[in-house]
Amino acid sequence: MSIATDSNIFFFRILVRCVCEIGKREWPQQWPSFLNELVTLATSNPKSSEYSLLILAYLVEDVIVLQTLTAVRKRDIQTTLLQHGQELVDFIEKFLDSSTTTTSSALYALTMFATFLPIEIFFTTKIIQRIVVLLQFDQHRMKAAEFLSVIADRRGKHEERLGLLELFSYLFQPTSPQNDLFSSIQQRQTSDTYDFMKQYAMILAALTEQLCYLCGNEDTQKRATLPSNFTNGTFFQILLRLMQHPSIYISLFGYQMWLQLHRANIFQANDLKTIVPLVLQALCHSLVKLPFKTKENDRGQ
Amino acid sequence: MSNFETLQQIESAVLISVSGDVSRRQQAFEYLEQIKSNPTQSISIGFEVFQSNRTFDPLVKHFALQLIEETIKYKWTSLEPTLKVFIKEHLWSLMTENQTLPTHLKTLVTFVHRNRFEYFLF
Repeated sequence: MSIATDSNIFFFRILVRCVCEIGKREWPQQWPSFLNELVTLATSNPKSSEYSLLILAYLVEDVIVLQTLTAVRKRDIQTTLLQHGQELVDFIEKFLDSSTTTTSSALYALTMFATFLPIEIFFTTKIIQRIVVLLQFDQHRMKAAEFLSVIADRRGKHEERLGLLELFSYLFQPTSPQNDLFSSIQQRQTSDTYDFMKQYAMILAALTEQLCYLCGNEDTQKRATLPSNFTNGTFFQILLRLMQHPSIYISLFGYQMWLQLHRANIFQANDLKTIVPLVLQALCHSLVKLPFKTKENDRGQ
Repeated sequence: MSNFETLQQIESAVLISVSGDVSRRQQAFEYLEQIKSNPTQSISIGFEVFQSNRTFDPLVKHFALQLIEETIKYKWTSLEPTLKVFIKEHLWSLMTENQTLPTHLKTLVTFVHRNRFEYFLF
């Protein structure tokens, strides 16, 4: 990247920071038109849209995620963001099929909003499906995975989290290429692909936790129905691939998911008779260990 | 001293502050800190670097934006309301790549007019 490009990026970010800092101090009471002005700025020309998206992203990051403000200011800003949550998500969604940098900024902004906005807001439109599609594109998959990781890891009441089970139908389609990454074990993989695989494994682990909480609840009346992509074995196939993966980091996710599913009694007794031999077979490669000390070494001591 | 001469002096000071001349570096640094300590001057100079017909070195632009950012972060509550409006208007102009910045009075009139007739989209 040239020095000129580096400078432009730096100036861009510092301008965003300046506006964000003013917003943190003035909005909503002293600057009620702030959101309107951001929308107008974004629609004035394509280059300006990135400013609006990143200002929103940095604002949420500072106030909600990093909590750099006082409790009173945080409450004021958070309340106003919650009031306009749906409109803001709808506004950002429009930029998901723009240029590469604008889409990245939109995904980053959505990731920040996903940390605190009600989960149901993201399931009222097709925004989740659009982000899942972005997993197929190298330039967007990491940011898309970060968003899905945040939303899949959300906590809250049982009723609020039920919508997350829809992610099973979006992520485990037959045409979803990201799941095949774990089966094509190559000796040499780019670090970008490996980073994405780790991030995606985090999504799967978070989804497993949600599944166990929603479908394995001790209160039988509260138990949700298992998603079809779980009962038809699709998810289990991916779980096996994770457990067999040569990367210790990725395979650990697989083991943890397997243990969680067992503790929550998700599998039926009949299913276990079929599943357990498959799991043992998958784990064989890691169960056979070479001895640390050979007889020759022992004699030498 | 005219604004242009001030900008030239600041440009020299910024470039000296990153040079190898230790004796002059300290002098330049103190001069720049003096500029930073005055919020009105900081804002005025900060935006004038981008308003000027001349293209400045990226280091000077960086310093100009730093002046603006630090004034906002550390001195915002002590600024006059008209200066706050000025800052917002000029930041918006920079973001929309409008290099023709309005005068102070025109800015104030525009802001008052906009607030009076503005409707809320949200």
